[in-house]
Amino acid sequence: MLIVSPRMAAVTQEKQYTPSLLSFFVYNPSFGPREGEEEKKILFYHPSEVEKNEKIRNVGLCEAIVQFTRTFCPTKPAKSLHTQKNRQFFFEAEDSYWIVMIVKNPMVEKPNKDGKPPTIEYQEEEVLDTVYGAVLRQCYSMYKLFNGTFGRAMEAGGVELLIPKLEKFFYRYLQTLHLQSCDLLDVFGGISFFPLDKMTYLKIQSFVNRVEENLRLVKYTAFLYNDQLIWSGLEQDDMRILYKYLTTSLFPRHSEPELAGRDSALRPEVSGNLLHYGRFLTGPANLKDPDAKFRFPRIFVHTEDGSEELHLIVYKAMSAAVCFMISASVELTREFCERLDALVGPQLTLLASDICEQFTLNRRISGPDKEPQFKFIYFNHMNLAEKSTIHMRKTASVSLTSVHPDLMKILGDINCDFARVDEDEEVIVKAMTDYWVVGKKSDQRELYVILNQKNANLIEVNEEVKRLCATQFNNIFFLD
Amino acid sequence: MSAMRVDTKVVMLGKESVGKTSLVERYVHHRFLVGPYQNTIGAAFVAKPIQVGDKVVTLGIWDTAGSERYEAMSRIYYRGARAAVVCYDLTDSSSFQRARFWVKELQNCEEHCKIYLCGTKNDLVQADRGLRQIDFHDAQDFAEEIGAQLYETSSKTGNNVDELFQRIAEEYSDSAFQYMSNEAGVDLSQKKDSYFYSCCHNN
Amino acid sequence: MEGDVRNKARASWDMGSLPPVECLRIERSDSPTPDLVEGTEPGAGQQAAMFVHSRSVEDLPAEADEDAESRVEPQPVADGDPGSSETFGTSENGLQVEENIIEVAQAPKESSWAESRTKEEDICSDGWRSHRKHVFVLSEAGKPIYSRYGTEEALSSTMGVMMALVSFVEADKNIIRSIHADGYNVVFLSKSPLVLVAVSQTRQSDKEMIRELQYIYYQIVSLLTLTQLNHIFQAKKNYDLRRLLAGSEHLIDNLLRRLDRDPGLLLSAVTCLPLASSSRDAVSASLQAAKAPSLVFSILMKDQYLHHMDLHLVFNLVCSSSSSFREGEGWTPICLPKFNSAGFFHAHISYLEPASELCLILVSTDREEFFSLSDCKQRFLERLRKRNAYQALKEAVKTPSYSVDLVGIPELRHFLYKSKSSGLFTSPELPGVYQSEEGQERLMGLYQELHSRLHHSTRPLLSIYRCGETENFMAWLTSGFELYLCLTPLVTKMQAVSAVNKLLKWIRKEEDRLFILSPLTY
Repeated sequence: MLIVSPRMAAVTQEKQYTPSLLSFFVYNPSFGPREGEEEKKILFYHPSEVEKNEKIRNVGLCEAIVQFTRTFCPTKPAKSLHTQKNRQFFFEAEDSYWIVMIVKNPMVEKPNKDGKPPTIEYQEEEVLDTVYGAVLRQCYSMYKLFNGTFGRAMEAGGVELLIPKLEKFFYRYLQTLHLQSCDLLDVFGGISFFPLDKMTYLKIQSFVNRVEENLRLVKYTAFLYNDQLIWSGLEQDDMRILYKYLTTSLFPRHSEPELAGRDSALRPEVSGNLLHYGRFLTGPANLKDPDAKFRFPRIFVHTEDGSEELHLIVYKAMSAAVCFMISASVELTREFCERLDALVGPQLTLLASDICEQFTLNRRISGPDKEPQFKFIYFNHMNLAEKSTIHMRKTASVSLTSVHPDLMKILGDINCDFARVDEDEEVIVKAMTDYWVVGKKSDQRELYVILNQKNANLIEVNEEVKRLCATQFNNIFFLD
Repeated sequence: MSAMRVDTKVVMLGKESVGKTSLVERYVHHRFLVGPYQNTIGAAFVAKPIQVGDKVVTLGIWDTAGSERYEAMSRIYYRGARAAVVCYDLTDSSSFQRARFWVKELQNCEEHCKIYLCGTKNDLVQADRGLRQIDFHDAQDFAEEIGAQLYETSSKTGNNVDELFQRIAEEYSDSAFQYMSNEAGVDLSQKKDSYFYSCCHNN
Repeated sequence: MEGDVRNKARASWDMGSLPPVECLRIERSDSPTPDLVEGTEPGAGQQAAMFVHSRSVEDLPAEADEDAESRVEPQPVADGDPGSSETFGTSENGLQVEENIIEVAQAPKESSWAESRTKEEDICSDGWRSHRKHVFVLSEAGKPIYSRYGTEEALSSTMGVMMALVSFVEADKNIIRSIHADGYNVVFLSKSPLVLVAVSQTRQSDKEMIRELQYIYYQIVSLLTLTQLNHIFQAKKNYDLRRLLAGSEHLIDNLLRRLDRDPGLLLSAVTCLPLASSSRDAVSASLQAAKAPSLVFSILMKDQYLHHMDLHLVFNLVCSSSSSFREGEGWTPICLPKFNSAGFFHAHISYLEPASELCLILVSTDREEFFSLSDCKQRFLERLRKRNAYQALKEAVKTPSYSVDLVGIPELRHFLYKSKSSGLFTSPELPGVYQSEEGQERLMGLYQELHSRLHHSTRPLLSIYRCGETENFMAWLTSGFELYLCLTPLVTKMQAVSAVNKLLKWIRKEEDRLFILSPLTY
């Protein structure tokens, strides 16, 4: 992606390039161990038009790097390679299956006079290993969610099955990677939970119970409101990647109807009758269509002895969305979908209104929304709960942040420091821009606060963060 | 205080780790340091007065580094030397090859410099004859061929060390008397000849 | 936290240029709290105990002539060529001391031989793998030149792979920088005709590791000169450089040890300022230095600037060399690569007394000047004695450092303070908790980490407060100084802030003794 830097544009037309994907490949060294058959190792290579020898060369370098680092630690081979022009990330997703992502460093292109080629300056410290390493692992998790493991495809049909699967999945998935806007949230890969009072929460739980009782086929259910999770019967890691799929891919593609304003809590029809705003986000777009297909995406979730394949039904009414997961061995029919629609549609519509009302009410109690002096990111490793007031609503393409990218990277640096020792720590730094950045790690929780108070001192900043913890986190962070 | 009143210059030459510094240590400070090998950096200078008859002769001993790195500049240390102690390790035949090199070097550049061949670490050889790699007679032949004197020494026991330096002092004293040498002292400061700089300035 | 530097009248000078003497005085106000009370030392008897690790630059009396006005004005640097013979107004006895850089340094207390090389390690063993920091030097032909652990022979194939990786990436018109894995990093530095590689389990950033590799590179250059190094490999690509470096491995070993422990190398805090002042000034400078305890007083005669790196290399040379300097006098060629990588200087190294910790280094451009410098040392020593400075110097050496307790802040465990204008730093003794080898390296590691965050190339920080389970840290960078505090854990932020202010006040008060910023007047 290219951004013309506005400062300099008028004078020199300096061009700033953000980090972007150079290549992405999957290989297994055991598939072409002999000289001359190196190409057989390569299972997927993006961009595919790269010349064969070039592909072999690049895969060869990765193998060499990994092998080289085993000299120093046989069990912990290389995870990334830094070069002037790019960063390469290595991930052994499954035994001997390596995924490599190469990200171009951001750069500044400065034109030269006299027709000389422009000078290129690579910004080598802008790409954070933790962030892009996490993005790479997420790529694999997403593949696995929809396809199961590489090994499974190999067992089922050998490379002839695996290669097309990889191509089909990554061809589309890689287009949705927006490397320039990846940040600390990708490292956490957390789940945003919808804050709710106990009563409403119980209502939702009983709704889930009722539905699961009536529709015996449903094996797991997950309930979300406003793109935030309320209830999930899935295992944490499965929910984490499913949540990522829903919020960054599925929901953004279907967000238009809700934007029409029907969601307002002031709507008069809200009481008691059978209003029905429900619809399928996966499967049939319109139940009344006689040609409607009852095919749903399949996903793979963990079980005690491996994984199981499930149909993923995502059903939505206003801002409330429910995922129903049903064993893939069952054929889903029109009849089943109609039953589900009839049962869930009105109840979910009602529930969505209730939640919305409750939420608005709570907001009013907690006082008017005034722009706070600080922004924060919170993450809890135990339940994957994340909360950010730095990120604006996610769109299909990018997740926008409201702070300067350098500050986001400082957060990343602090997170990196935290990750290296397993103890509670607190870091308060003052950046050159006079912003204060605070990072706290306590127990399994991490909190990052950015304060825009140029003239504050360390003690005042500390007081401010203390207040934040008291109001937002019930003092779960212990301070002096 | 006036340590610089030196009558004659003696230079120690030889392959690294043959024991040049140990030899000087033994002679000047009467001690033998045990411990890990420490190589000399550049060169060390020490002045040692020695009684010869009724006179005192002060030897200015230059203990040079054996490392090949300093070879190019070794000339500044041996230039003007009246005596050179060319050392080799009795238990290391390659050090004898190196000694031959230094002898040739001296013959070419410092024809007035008297050469003393010195086989070191004699104590090792005494303890275990099998360790000897340089036959005494071979060394003797070589010494005769170049008109040098041969000593086998042990800095550990002190064997033959004082004798070596005493001999150097005496021979200096004799020759000085003989020629009524006018320029007593070391001549490091003569400016001619920039052989050394050729390695770092002329390319 | 109000002690920021307000003085804008800082001279900016480049390497090799000469700041006027006045400048040095002005810069005093670059120290933390200029508005605090001037340092009139109460209780002079206490002074000796308070002396500090600091290095300073002063002039040296070339001869007995005390007439300050007769000194020549400093000359501009003649593009750093040590071989160029500039003529200076010289002293009565005709000795060209102006061409010599002179300094007195205290010899290291630690035995530089403590760590004997354990070369014969099995490179497949866990022991070999578990070393905190490996360093390899190889030629561009992939030939081993140096390995910190394990023999070069055993590692020749590993080094071959290193070279292959470097050239493979180079073939794409790209440059390999580093490899990162869980728990360790591999950092590459290509300095044709050499390639340096570090494999480190420390938490140091790539940038810090590169800085260390650069030190190693310059160490090698200082032994050979860059000209010679280039020449060798131009003539023979697969030359085995170990032949020329034989015996100097321990120099690199020791440098690596210093890098792990000496904050001076981290802070780039040993710089010598050029200064031409009268011999009276110089004598008082040596007196002043005599009071300055731990060591170093360094004297630069000419209007030339000695890069901190070169100075560290000289120190490393002295500290690593055998005891033969102790009773005799050393005379060795040394290349000061930051000054002039093409040629050698000649260093006269001697201890003021055989049993003394004080080592005098005289650096000359002329390889024939051994005896002149030797005389120079004698005269210097005589003068010190005459002025009773020598005794004071010897006394000071007995108490080379000071305890952090002197500062009077109970929460404070240790600190580093660098005055940016003078390039000098001060730091107390390590407290008990950090005295073990591991403790010392851990503390240095934490300082290094803070340092690299403060000095991040694109996201630098003004201050860092870090509170952990074992200690708290405060790091602060201003235009005038750089400060790192190590505090006890559980200290409150309030206490920490007050500790910083108290410490700055203390440094200001002790400044004269800590930094030798102003010449003594009699």
